[in-house]
Amino acid sequence: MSAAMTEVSAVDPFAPASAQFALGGASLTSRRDDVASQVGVRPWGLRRALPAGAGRVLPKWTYDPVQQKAVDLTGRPLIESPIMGDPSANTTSTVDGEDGPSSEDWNND
Amino acid sequence: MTVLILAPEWDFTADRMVKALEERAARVARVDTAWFPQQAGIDARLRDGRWMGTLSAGGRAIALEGLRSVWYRSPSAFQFPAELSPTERNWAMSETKLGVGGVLAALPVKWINHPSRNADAAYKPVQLVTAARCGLTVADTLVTNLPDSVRDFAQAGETVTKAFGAAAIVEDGGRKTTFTHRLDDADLADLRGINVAAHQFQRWIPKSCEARVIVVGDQVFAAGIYAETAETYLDWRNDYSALWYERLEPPGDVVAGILEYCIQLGLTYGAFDFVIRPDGEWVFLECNAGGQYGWIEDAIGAPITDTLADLLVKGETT
Repeated sequence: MSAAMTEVSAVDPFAPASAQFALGGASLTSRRDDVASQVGVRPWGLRRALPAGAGRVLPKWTYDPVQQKAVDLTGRPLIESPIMGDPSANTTSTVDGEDGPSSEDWNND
Repeated sequence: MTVLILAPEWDFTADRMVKALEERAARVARVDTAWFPQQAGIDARLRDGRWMGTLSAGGRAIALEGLRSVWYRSPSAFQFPAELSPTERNWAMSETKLGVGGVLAALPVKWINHPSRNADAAYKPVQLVTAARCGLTVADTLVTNLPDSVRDFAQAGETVTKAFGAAAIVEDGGRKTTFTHRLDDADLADLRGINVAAHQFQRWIPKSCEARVIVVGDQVFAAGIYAETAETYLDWRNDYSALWYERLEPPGDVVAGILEYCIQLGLTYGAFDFVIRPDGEWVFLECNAGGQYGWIEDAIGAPITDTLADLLVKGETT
């Protein structure tokens, strides 16, 4: 297996072609079962990559297209639930949440 | 007129925005681009120089010409039938991105932010030169894939390395993170793999704390982020439970630089990160044009969602 690779501009639904720098090339997405390459092959910047923390367990939820919000099993919006805490600490790991190159991330930053 | 929210289904901040817009009696439609093409459709026709027609999603028929504004909050990638080959999926992704994404991106409405502006603003080297041009203090920075350049840079002072983009990857069956790291002798003794990709190195900046500054239009909300552990002192993303916050008022020249930065990159919204040195100087680290603000809003009691909602309801393009 090869090392995990992501070309986010290929999957971002909107980012313009100009975000694909270089413009051509294959579109690669990360594969969950990829394994780290050997030292020297693996990018130096990934050497210290560590498993993210387990985070907290989220309640069961669904998206309600009428309310346009995430709801619990009774249909109550989760933002009205006291157990949810702050609104963007919403996943099981803590990474960077920016658009563009980091759009795969989903937590507070 | 409708406010369109483009966001993933699981996004509490977007949930809050729906509520805020409802409280303003605004018509709101929320769509995740992941619904295309299997759960959503588009019928767009070019009429008199603009796209008109319907976006069908989430049980709604959304008139393109009836949109007032769009809040772009990192919607998910299009989802295609599982039976497509990788080549077919790639082609379908590109066509849908250029087609659906293109129609929406061409809508002459208020965007917060327009995804093209976000994409342009995502490049850290662009951010750094823009910040410097706007009068903000920036850290000495090296971009390289050459080991000798790393050694040379590190020789001149304490150095950290951090990713240009995602601080996370998916590998070995799970998610891994790679946050800011302070270089030591062991790092410099073995730089194998530097040549495989571009890497970013910066001079370490002594800090009393860090700050996240959220810009919404001409409003600025700043939070001091105080670390309680060595790990969070180095990079606060290491452990959110080991942080505390307080609202700050940035110096006037920093506010002016931030607002000019947003003008230069065409951003209505931005999440800026700064280091505040012990002498009080604010040093720009980065600006995340799609950065999160929900937890900061709660921590410092800043009306960020309300301010965004007011702008979306107002809906002017300038």
